[in-house]
Amino acid sequence: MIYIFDDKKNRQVSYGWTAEKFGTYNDFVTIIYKYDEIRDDVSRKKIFSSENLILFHESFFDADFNQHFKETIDIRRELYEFAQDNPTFSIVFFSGSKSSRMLKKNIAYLPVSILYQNLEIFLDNSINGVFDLKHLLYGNSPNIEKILVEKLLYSNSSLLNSHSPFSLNDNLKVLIATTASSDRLPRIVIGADYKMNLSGERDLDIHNLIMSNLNDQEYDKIFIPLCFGYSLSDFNGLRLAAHIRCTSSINQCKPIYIYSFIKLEEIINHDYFNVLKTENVKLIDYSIEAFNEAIISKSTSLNFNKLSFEMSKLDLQVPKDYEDNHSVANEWGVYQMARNANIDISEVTGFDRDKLTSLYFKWLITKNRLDLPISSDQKKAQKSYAELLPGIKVLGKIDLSKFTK
Amino acid sequence: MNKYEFIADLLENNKLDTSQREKVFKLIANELKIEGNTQIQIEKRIKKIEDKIRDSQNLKQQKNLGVIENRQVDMPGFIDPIHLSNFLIAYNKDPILKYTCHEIDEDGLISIMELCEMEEFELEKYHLKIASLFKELSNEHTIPKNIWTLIYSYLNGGKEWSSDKIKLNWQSHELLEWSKRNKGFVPSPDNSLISTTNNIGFDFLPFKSKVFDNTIGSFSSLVIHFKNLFHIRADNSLKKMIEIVNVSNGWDSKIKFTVSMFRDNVEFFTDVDKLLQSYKKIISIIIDVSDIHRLDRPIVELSLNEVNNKVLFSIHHKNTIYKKTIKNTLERIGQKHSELIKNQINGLCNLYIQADFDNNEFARINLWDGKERNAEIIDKVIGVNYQLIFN
Repeated sequence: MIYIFDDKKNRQVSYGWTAEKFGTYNDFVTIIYKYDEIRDDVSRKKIFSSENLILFHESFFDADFNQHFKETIDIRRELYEFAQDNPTFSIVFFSGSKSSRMLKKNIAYLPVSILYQNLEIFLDNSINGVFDLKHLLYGNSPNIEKILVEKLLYSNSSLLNSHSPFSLNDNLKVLIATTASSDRLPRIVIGADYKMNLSGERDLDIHNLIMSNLNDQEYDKIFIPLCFGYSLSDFNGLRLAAHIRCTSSINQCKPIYIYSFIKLEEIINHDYFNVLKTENVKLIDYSIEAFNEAIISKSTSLNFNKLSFEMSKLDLQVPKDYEDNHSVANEWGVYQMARNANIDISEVTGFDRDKLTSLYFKWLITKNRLDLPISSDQKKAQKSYAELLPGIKVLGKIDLSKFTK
Repeated sequence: MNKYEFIADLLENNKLDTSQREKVFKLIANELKIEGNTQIQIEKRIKKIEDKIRDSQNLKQQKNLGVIENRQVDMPGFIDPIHLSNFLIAYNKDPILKYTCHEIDEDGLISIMELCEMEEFELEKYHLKIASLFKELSNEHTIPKNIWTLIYSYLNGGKEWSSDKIKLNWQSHELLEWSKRNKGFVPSPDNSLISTTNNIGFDFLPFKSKVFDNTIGSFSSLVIHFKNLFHIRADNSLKKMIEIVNVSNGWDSKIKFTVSMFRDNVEFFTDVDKLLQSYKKIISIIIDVSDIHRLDRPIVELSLNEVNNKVLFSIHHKNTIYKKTIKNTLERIGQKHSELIKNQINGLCNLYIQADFDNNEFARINLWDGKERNAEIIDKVIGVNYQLIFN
């Protein structure tokens, strides 16, 4: 059984853990909001049994309604000692004043945001018989994620070791996209626009961020992080670069630098790796020196006429949320017909407009140059055909009931 | 004089008989109940009063011990380190002040707005509240000047704070400007609040912390940095800080450090800057002794442990003997040790040495614990072991 000691329901809700969501784990999880719920010996005995896990918010006993005769620090000490003496019992301390994750055998420490972010993965794994606190600390791929978290931490720590932040040349416009997490890149380039607050990783989130951040100001260079979103090992920066290239904006063809604390060879097998083979998209180090070099280097925008060719270097697979290849073909067919007929796709009933924000669809459009308006010759031809064609005549309905099998 | 000091004075008064004392206790209990406190809070407050009485008695005792102390250069009055720990614990759990050392989450924001009576977050109002609560809390506790200055400067500015000499504080011009441009947003949000509000808080030109060897570039990381300056625990490990100090001072080549029983999970509230200064001073003393007496390369064993609910940090110079006799040490602890006590140890922790005094004499001497200095004869030990005991 897993016991969560957290005195604040609102906190859980703000991390997406509503009573309903907890309800789906009722058989495995008990939440303790108040000290009163566990004052009796029976409850305590039940909780402090082997095989159990306590997720303990460090300030649980600081709340007015949870006052304990012992100081919180002493309670934490005793919990620690209990876990140390009982290796099959586990304890996880979490708090908003923690910035790092730590696991020592059956005792873990982590920030509150990470706990609630990974709780579902941890619970699902535990229910399926894989009880591993690493899932709570690092999510789905704990081993690779641990390495990446540590590398990011180290990169941020050593950022100012040999170089200081520097100022931009007045006439340069640079966008540095950063993550919304507390381990985001610090402001090392004075005068750059720090924007985007990357966190969501769905196509729709990324598309909306591009629409709201890359349409007003024209930039000379754009820097984006390799890692953002739910797990660092998704390398969403590659997808973001492809999105930028496949989204119509005044910055669509600007040079893109993906700043990364890992080496190129470590991402070579990624689905979107080929975006790095396209012109004007580069991977740079997570260092002040690398930013400086990239900023002073001469680079021009990608020629729009080459965009289709460059995008054809990507080899994207049909997204898993499509039923099959036929359904993609159908929607793609509808889109093409509407476009060729010079019909606004939003007027076509039944067409899922959200598809237009998916990278796959945007990529098909960009690669096939369907983002360009149809030619004036085509428009003229359409007009002349329209005059010649009388339109559809409805002669009547076929009554199928008249026919036998 | 605040309410608790007045009560402590009253209870210390020898002219009160038993029945009068009982009446006073009843009145105290009523006074505390009026404030709407639970029984536990009352007990804690009474404990606080008892601490005050003990503290002032210690000071009196200290004066009586003048025979020993007066032989030395003006030693300060003993400050019990329990006050530092109690104060920091109280600061850390105050429902408003705690958000100056924790990132603010959605729930925290709601409670700040409720307690500060705000419709939406307003930095100025919040600051007024934290400044007054800090003042109140400072009046309730006897705290060493250094930690008071550190927190005061972090909250109100006027002085650079911590050994990283940080200028940025809750009243910094840059922060106030940011706040005007970001009305309703908190400067130090946690990840969940960021995702709800899409505001990352106040970011600034990053600086490198020498204490923790990390980069601080956001107000969210600054509040955690501040917390790390007074709360040692598993994810703010003393061991790591010591390693940074050893490397940055080049001591890892001069001294052979070994570690025994250094428990990473030990948790305590203290003045981390002062603790590190004490460590540096003690290591400097060890290096000086080794140089002056042409000893071998010092072997220093470090350990951190809990003994009787107190934290014991020991710095054990193993290949040496104490260069004074027990009698001399009891009479005069020497200038370097006196300075260490005056500038770092007093109010931070108690200090003992456990040493080989040569001629088969082994003793543990309380260099600073508020009691009369004495030597406890012990079984054979090697070297000189500095023991710092924290509450």
